Amino acid sequence: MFPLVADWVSGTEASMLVVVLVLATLGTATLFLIGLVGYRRRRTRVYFLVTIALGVLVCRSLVGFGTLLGFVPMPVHHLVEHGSDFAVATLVLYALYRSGPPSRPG
Amino acid sequence: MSDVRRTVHGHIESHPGVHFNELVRDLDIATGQAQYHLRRLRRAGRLDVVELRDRTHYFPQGYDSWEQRTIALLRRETARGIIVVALEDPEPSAAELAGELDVARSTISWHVSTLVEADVAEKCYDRHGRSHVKLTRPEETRRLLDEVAPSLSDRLVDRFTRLIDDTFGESATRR
Repeated sequence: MFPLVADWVSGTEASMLVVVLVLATLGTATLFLIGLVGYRRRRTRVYFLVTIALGVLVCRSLVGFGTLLGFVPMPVHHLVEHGSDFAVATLVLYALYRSGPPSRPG
Repeated sequence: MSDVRRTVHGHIESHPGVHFNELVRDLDIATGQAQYHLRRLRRAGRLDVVELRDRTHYFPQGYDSWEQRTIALLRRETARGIIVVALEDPEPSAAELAGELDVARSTISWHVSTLVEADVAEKCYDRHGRSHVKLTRPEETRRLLDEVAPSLSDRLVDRFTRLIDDTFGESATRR
């Protein structure tokens, strides 16, 4: 069914993975685009960090396709996926840390 | 044309009838900077300006003055609510409008008189002497309502920025 897919998946698994990956790519890419427009409006560090985090999510989906099609070896896949989890967590935590307590005069 | 001026002009083209504060907030530019570029665009004849009840609305070219007034009112929440109710259920009474929109009768009456002055709606009375609101040009009003309704992508970006602003507080809006 998918002559190009790597040898670690059966045909049924591959079709399910393709569906999940397409949905993930559409979802994360939409979020990333919304983030980009938001960043263009505000141009602040917080928006920059959140948008990069959303961009990393898009990369995860693309690497997923790469692995399924046999371009990205499994160890690299795991390294990238878990590395990007770490990156997303760090970016959002840093944005939260930078935001600090509200300082409202008066 | 400078980048900022192009952005301001583009925003007005995609949001006809946008008012000054909204423009400044959406584009996150300084008030003075916005005033300067709007003045230059106006002088160059690239936009039309409508002053209505203390607010200034900006339009790209191509709208006649009735359309401009209608769009300007469609950008105000209560006036827009009255128009939407009157499109669904022709000739609502002031009491029905107040109930439907959950605002005071006096608020309805103020907005209805604005709509009447702008020739968007007119008042008529039933045999009990109660006043009803009737749109002067319902079909054209409906078309303009569709035109100014924010697109799905606009609404998503607005909600996303609200979410981030709320989560991260002031630092989200401070450079």
